[in-house]
Amino acid sequence: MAHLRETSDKALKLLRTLPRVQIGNLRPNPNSKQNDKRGRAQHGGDKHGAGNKGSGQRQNFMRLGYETGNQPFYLRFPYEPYYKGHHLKRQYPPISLLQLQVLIDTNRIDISQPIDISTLCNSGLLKLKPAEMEYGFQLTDEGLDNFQAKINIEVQHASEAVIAAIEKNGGVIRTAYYDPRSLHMLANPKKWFEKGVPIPSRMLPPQDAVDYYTDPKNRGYLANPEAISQDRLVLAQKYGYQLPKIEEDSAYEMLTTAKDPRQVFYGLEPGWLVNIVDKTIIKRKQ
Amino acid sequence: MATSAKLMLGSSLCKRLSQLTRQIHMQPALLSSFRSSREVQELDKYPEVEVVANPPEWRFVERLLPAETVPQPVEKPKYPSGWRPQKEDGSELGYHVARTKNHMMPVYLHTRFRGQRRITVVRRVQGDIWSLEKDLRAVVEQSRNGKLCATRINELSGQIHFHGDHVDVLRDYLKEKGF
Repeated sequence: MAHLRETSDKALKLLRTLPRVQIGNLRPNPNSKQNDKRGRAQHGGDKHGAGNKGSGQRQNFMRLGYETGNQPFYLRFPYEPYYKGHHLKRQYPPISLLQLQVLIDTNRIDISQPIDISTLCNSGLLKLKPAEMEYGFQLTDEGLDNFQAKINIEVQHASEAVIAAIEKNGGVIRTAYYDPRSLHMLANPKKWFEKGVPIPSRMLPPQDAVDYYTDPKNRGYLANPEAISQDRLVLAQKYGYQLPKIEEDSAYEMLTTAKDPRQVFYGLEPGWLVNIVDKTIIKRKQ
Repeated sequence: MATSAKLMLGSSLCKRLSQLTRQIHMQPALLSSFRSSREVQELDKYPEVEVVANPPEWRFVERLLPAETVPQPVEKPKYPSGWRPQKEDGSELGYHVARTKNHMMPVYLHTRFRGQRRITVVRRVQGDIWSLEKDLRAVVEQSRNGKLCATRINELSGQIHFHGDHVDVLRDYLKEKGF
């Protein structure tokens, strides 16, 4: 057995001097590669995988979907309009409460200021594509139990549980509609300011969104504020928590900051022109 | 005469077109602001404007400008999301797992073959990668009730690959260790 050990020792010794086994110095498995040349006549020239006789051998490739005389699959069922108008429906990409909490914990969002689409997009981790019919963010309830932040947030869609989670922590949530043009501005405000165009006013919601945004239950931005404050109490009783009084809060001013229904950016009025190079604002003379 | 008529027709068409484009406020990114903007009129038709330098509203503009770099995390009494800042520097253990640029744990799941093959990848390992692999494999095998787990080390790129989906187990362990 001595010679065997010697052989294995030799093999191990050789292995140590060889380069690392990696994809660059491995050859493919035997027979794993197909030869791209086909033999002719006696040198392997047979049917070449096309079969004997018929349309297979003649290689008359039939048109797509043709089933040689059967009623084709694509004509077998009548038209059913499941997706009628799907390309016109408004999309609201989700952002969960957990994601929002991570953004807050990792210092990507400043909660001492009101949060809106531009805050979320400026974090660099979320993206909005208004050209692909994305009309803003919806806040979803994942991580609802661990959410602990007092924020003033404006989203485009939120469920009842999410509204309760925000308000339980002493925060304020509002759902608001933005037309695609305003969304385009909010998705990347810096780029939009560089265009040097006056800030337009925000459009009112389309007919089918009016009901949602005038409902105090959804904390819609067009709802009656008194109805909203009443519904905050109702929701607190429904979910069984003590509603923190934002009137006595030190951050009352921040928590009650809201945009005008015609306003796109906080604090900037429509018609103003912002010059970010000279740091000036061009306003209409009073 | 003919050319002027053509021009007239052209300008009226242009006006009609620009009106149309203004009516359509869907997908404004596709429409150039130059083509859809109104033609320049006499100056007295425009409102008078003033250029305000150092306006009090500038803080609202500054708030809309994104941060140029990823901000450093701030020390807080608690982090409700479960995220933790990195504490360990690996001087005692002999190895270190660096955080990503977004201050996250570099543990990922790679799926191939329609999710049939799942491989957990620990990236950004520095120092003694072999002893880290030993520790992590023990953790994974414990979570599998003693079943073996195949691993692969790429010491040049500082990566460890684990067979199977052990992202949560490894993330929690590394977080517990302070990485």
